Amino acid sequence: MAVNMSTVARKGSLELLQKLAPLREVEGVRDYFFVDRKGTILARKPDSPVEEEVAAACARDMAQVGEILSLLPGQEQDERVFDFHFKGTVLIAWDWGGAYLMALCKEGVNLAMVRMTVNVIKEELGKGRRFRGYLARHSGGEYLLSEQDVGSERYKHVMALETGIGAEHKLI
Amino acid sequence: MTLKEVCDRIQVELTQVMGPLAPLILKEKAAEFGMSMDNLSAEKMPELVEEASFEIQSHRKKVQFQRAALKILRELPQQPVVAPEPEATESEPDETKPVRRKSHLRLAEDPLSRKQQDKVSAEKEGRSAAGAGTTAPR
Repeated sequence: MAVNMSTVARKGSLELLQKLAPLREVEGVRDYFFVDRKGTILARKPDSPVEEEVAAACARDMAQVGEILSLLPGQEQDERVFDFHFKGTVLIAWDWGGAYLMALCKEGVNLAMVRMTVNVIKEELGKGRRFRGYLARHSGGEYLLSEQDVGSERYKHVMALETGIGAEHKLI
Repeated sequence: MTLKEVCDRIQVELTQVMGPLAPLILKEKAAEFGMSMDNLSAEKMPELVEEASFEIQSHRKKVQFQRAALKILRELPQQPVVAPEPEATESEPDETKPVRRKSHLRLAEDPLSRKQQDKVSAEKEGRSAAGAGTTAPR
């Protein structure tokens, strides 16, 4: 099997790639990637039909959305799951604190199969000492949005939600 | 492997983690999905298994059951997931024009915004009609 090692798996992420492998067996999962807080892909489905730039854009945008939403009150739970439904595609992202696992699936994928597979993967990843060390190295450091970004005009609606100012901005 | 065999094996796995109540729970969950143990749907089996796993209190045992159930479920013949493909254009590509790559992600049409658009256009039309009524033709 030809694997593009420069992009699909970086050094030290082979264990991660192996742990994510069960997702390949789920019918309808087109691509999956493990992403750090900043939206950088750490590991990705080896023979994905999705273009690399599309996956990178998904990863970065999703990490940004996750970070913005984490500023809202009541987001302190251990695991957050986001699912975005597009025409023909479903993007599901699991926020595991230090990193995100994202799955790009066909519309109509059996979500129960995906969820259970990811649940098992999460457990396996938690057991791996090498992986925990790897994640600790990659999940630390800077956040995608700096404090300056968050306080800026562009994200003022988020701050308004957090402080309760601006009744016109409501979560639906 | 038939669906009945799959269900029996899942029942065995659930019994190992939950004890003798497992068949009853599986039966109840199947009823919630509008199925009986003799009339199961392969499509809904994963959901049934997931729902049954929520009844397991211990997280470790829950994952253990899900892992075993996934192995069993993969033995079922998986139906291909049919996603609606974007419409292909029949016309031949014009080589003089630059080719724009289609995005893989296409946003579904938002019915609410469509309604709002309709409302706004209806209001505009109403306003223009009313406006036409007030200005008397010379």
